[in-house]
Amino acid sequence: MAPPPGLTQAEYLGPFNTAFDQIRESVRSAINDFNSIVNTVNHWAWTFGLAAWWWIKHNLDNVKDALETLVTKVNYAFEHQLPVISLISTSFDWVSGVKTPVSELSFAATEPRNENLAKWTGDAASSYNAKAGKQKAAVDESVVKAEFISQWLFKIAKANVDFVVALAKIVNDVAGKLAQAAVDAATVIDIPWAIDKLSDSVGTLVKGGLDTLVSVGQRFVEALGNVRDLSSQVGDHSKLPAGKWPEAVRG
Amino acid sequence: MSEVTVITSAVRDEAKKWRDLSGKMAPVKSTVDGMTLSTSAFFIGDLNAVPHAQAYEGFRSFMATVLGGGVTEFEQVGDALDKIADAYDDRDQIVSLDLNKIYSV
Repeated sequence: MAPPPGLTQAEYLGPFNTAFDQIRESVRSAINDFNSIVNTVNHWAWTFGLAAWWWIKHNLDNVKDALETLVTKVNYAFEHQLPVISLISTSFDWVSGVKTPVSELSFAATEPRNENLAKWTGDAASSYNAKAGKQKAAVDESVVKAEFISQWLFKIAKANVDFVVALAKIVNDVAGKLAQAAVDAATVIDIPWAIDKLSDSVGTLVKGGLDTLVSVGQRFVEALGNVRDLSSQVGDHSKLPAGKWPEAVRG
Repeated sequence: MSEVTVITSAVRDEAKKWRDLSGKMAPVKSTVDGMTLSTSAFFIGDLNAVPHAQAYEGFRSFMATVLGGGVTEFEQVGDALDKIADAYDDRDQIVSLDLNKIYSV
């Protein structure tokens, strides 16, 4: 998929960075709510029997493990936010900085600057025209290659955006459950029930969410299948003989 | 203006055109030189991105070499056209040329 026409880099980076902002906020509130629930439970610990206490603790540990799994993913993602932005930018730059300016050379390559060039005939003239044609073909081939690599990077960029949006959704959903549990556990009598509900829902959310992340990650891995295309693009030597710009002049 | 003057002037204009094209290609080549991406740029999840990064770098450096070749060739086509125009001017006619000499540096 090429960068959609008319879609600017900023419009594309918007959802990416917005998802990161949401993650930052949701993680903070999830951790605050979790700590507040733990404080409440500790405050009332003396009122629970030993069995109930262990059961509550076990469920809270499950929630804590789920949160830690998420936080690990989130930290990893944050470390890669800026580098991935450079990949998204680069996918656009191959169009604006390479494909477009090179394509502008295509017409000029075989269009005489001075119309009187048409008066030039003979072997030197036809030799020149043949060389100009080959130079133009190399220009056109470079345009095709720039478009190809832009599309390849964009496919990877898309998998990254989908990944962070999916991660934001999981973190946001989990933060919502923790916020609800913090409210539910406000009274001592509701604590066991609130913790039970929390542990169940967070466990399900994180498991389902991680499955989604794996399937998005799969698309990233599959983009590697295109590496064969990438190599064959590099190896298409018909217009770039021996993988080089056609030599008009020896030496 | 004699026919040969008209033609040499057109050939010299064509030489300038190729040098202009070389001048336009040069910044594109520099752009590609700068378009390197670190391995960490390829995925925000914890998956192995090394093969992707290597594939991209192979392609990018290939493109940089190819476009650099274009910068050189355009310049040299311009010079070859000037050599042709010089030869016509010297003899004041459209002479037969040794094209092997014209198209070598």
